[in-house]
Amino acid sequence: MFRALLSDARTWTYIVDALSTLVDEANFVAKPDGLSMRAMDPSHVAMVDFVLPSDAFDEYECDQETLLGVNLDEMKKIMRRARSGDTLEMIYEEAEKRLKLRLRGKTVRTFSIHLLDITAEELPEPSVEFKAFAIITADALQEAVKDAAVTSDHVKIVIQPDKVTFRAMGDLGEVVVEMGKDSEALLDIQASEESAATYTLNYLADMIKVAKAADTVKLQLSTDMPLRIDFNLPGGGRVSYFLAPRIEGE
Amino acid sequence: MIVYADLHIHSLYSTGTSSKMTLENIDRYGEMKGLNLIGTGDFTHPKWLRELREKLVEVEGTNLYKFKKRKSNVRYMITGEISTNFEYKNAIKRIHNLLLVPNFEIADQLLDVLREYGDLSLNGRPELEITASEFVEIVKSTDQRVEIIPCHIWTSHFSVLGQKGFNSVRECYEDQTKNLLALETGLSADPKMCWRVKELDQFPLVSNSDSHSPYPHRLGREANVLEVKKLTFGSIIDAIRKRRREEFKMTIEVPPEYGKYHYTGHRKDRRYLIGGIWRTHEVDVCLHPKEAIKLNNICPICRKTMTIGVLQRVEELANRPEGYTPPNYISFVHLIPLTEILMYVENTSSPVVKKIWEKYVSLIHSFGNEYNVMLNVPREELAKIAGPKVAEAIIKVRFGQVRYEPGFDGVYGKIIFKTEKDKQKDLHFKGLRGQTKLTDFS
Repeated sequence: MFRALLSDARTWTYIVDALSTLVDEANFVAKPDGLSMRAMDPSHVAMVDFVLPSDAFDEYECDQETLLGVNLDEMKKIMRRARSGDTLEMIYEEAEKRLKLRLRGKTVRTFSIHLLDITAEELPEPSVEFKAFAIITADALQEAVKDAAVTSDHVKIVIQPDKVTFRAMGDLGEVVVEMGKDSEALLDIQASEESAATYTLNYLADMIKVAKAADTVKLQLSTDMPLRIDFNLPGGGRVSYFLAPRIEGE
Repeated sequence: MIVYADLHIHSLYSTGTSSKMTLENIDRYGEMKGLNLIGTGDFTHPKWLRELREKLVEVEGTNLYKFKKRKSNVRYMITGEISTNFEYKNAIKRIHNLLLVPNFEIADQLLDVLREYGDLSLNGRPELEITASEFVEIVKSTDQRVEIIPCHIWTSHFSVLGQKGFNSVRECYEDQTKNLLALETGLSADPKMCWRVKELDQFPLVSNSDSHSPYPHRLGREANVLEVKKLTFGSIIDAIRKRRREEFKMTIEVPPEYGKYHYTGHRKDRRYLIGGIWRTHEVDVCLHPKEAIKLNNICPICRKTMTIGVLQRVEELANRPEGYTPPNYISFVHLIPLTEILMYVENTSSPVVKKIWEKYVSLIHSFGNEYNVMLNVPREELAKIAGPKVAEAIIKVRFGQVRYEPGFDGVYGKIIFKTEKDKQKDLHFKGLRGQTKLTDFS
């Protein structure tokens, strides 16, 4: 059996929004120690890895590993019905192959969704040795990506020992967003060597949607290697993305 | 007599067509190309039909037409393209069909029937709300002599077997499949590609330009070469239907890579939404089917499904290996328009600049027409008129010693003359300017 309660339903709304940007359908894996999901987008350019440990929930019960194949668009529609102050209870009913989502506020609303039989695929993390990381505020990343999108469809991210730079060049001109050690947006930075890579903004624009549910974000990269973005969720848990680079000069 | 026939063109009354697409221009440039039979196109449009009646007269007893006043060797067949729009399995299908009509009287009868299904005056290629099979049925029941040819059968949009079409001709035309005269291969495919699908064996394969411009880099770029004792509507239909090599000599094809939908991709200027802002693709995404399939046909720039190219659709539906040749096949040649070659040699970007046009006209005046220049005139003769570089380039095209950067998502392919360096380089993947996949790093 599986049952989980979140005292703020909006947390789940933000998570589902973030996950559904990359994939339409995916398997959540419920285990006694928490809920997780890993999925690759259809073009294999991006991957999402989500973990919400049992103690991030207000109540959590799971006696065995259970696969919950979900249409994320359907779940998103339901979660948009959540109101401020609502709690969310998720209950898996094995006999009916349904997942119940119960929103409890002024009223109690219970939505049931059919579970899908999705082939479970082994998705290993890309094998990358990251040479640099920067921890910045989630809203600073959101703004940087939006700024870059004004002029271009791709952005170059550079991490140096003392600053992180977002640079986008397009037909309209150039945008450079810098966060130095004196910036309030940059919380920590480390680079064993200067690392730079270019990424498609359309993916990043969707990935930053989860910033609503997170305070800080960790960017990890090595030159011309995939980017890893970790959003730490308040109360525990994280949403991580991997994004393949565009190799310039080919 | 040998007939060079381009049966599918459009008039100035079709959307996206040059205002220069007048009957006089079609005649003038058609002759320069070497065509002696041209489809009128757009007979369903009231203004074009009126013009055809005013300017053309039947060559007695042939069901073909010629200019009343203008001196010309070109004969005209009444033709028109019609889009049949209908719902099939919760998807809207738009299938284009070419009609070949024996005379104006039958054309009038057809119009009476067809106007029940849509407004014929809106577009030279009208959009009718009718299934493809019902369309064939009503056309044939109006007059058995009218012939129907599904157009550019592999093209990504508006075609029977393209990305948004069907998986077989039969699935689309149902029991009316038997009433189709032939299939039109379209610019991005050639007969060799069609031979890989067994179902298509039952149909003659024809080639036409679907030209929206009268200039010879468009008109007649694809055509059918037929030999008939007497040029009549009936003898042409007969030569196509019976597929005897003595009569159906060959088709003239542009190399399929030259066509606008050969590879899969998204062109540079495509619009898409990113972070609430409309943007355009800054780079071309042009992929060989193998690369597109690896990406599940998703564009890595805008993340929408790409326009699936003809090469990929053929691969999806093929039930024979590459290189299969059926018995009694009709042969074909690959040619590109002469002005394209001149543009390449003279390093210009437009086919209608003075420098190109003068050289083109001098070649045509010397050797009669473009097909003759491209197919028959010896190198030395060509060099005398147009110089050794042009002669060399024409010979290379004639003997297939040319490469092409493939067309995709509405962008024409580009000619690349082989160099020693090119021979060692695999140019088949134009690519994404380096978009990688996560699986490249596992």
